[in-house]
Amino acid sequence: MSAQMAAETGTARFSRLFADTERELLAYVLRRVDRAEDAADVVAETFLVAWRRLDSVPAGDEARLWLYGVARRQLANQRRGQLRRSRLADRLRAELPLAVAGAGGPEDHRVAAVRAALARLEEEDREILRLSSWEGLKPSEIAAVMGVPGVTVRSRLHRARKKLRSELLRTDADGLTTNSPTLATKAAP
Amino acid sequence: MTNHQLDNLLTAANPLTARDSRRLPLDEAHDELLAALLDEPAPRHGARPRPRGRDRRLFGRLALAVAGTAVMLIALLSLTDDSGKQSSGTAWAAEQVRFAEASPLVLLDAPGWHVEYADEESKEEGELHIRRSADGSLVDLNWRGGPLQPWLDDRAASSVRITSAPVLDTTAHVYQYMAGTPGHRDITALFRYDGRVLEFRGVVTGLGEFKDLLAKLKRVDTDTWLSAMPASVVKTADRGSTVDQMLNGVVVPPGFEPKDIRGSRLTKDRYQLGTAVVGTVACQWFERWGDARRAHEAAKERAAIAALATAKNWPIMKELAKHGGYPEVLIEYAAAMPSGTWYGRPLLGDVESGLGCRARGVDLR
Repeated sequence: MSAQMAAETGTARFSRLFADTERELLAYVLRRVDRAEDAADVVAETFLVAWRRLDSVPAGDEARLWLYGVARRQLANQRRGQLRRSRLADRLRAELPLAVAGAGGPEDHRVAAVRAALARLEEEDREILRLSSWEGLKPSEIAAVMGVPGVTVRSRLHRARKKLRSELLRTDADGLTTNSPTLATKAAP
Repeated sequence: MTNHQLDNLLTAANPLTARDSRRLPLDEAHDELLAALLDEPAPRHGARPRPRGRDRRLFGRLALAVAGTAVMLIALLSLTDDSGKQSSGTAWAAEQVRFAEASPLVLLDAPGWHVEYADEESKEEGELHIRRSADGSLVDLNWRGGPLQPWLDDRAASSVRITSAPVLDTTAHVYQYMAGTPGHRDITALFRYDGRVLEFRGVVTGLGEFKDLLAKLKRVDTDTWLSAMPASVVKTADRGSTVDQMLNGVVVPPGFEPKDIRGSRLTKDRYQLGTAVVGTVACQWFERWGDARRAHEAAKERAAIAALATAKNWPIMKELAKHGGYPEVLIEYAAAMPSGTWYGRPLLGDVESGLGCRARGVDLR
């Protein structure tokens, strides 16, 4: 624990942690739930864990990874129907559906095809791809979130990419790339 | 398909980018969540109370020593005295600390000047009005997120860049507006500080005085910053009781709850909070009135008209009328209810924008 952390009260530190990470954590959760309002309980429970175990939350950017790891477990609980409906998140739950309506870009056929292909992958493969692409995490950071060695992440990431590519090629692969000048341009070395 | 192409496809399939998530209008829901979390017991660390009184001042000095900046130390010594007159000696509410720390924690450390008004529009944006008691001179300090350059471009279009000047630990771009007269120069300084764009602006006797003031901006600790807030600023800890007091004598619509009043910001000027209170009540009455008209419920319509006809007598309306025009507008709208029109147009359309109903959670369309 740094001297600065030691001098900071728990309340102030948690408030800062919340302010620094709330949007990213919410986005992380929203990308993984079927209904926007379900994200409220996951976010609330994740921060509640952080509040109660503040001494365990690492400093700096590692705090975000720690929160993602907690949120992963809360999401798993929710999928199993084990996540309680948190009274802490009443307002967030009420406002989320309206707030996210219209957020994000339109779902064209390419986007729909990629999401469908992702959905056909195993959860672990899907999650490693999302963490890499959507959260922009490096393999070492993905390892921290998933609780596995970094070298394992690299091999799993390679495998997950291969599976996704196969899924895309099996369905509508050509249309995804050859019809997309933007992608073709971006893909050029 | 290359890895790069695959990555691009994956990126495009992201249902919610980080940028979009930051734009979601959820600040107040998040504020409520944070407040609720902080009310929860914290067994691992909650047993340690916040420092109070003399210990708190000692804590402040320790924190500053850790930060190790001479500017902060000077600010502490000059703005906090041992008698605790300016330091409250009380532990600030968590919400207050959070929002104070969302500001750049900068004050004008000059004798005779005091913060007259403070407001924080969002976590990134806020302002202080700082007045000199002796002659009424006013300067203001604004802070905003985002890059500096658009602000420089904007000021360059309406004023002249005259110099640069040191401020805090950086250098400000100083612009002078042309409309001034000798002895009354409108000068503004823009600079980046603490990851934000700060603007310090005032009408002063000249560049010399402006630069003197600019050099007296000091970074302070949270306690000192909060202690400098004026009495007219309603702090979060007092907000509930202040709202209850403001609702005294106000005729509220059925189902109204004080929690309907949006805005859980830290520094809320009493006038602004008062307009939020009467505005929310009035908007909800107008909503009932509009619904009643559409449903041809004459009794309900008359009840809404009668309720808002009393608005001119609400104590908080009388108080607000001394400081601004919001009550006058509300009273005029209330008087137009029997006709249902406002200068030939449907009344509700004007009410929605005039009273800011949508921002208060009431959609009159």
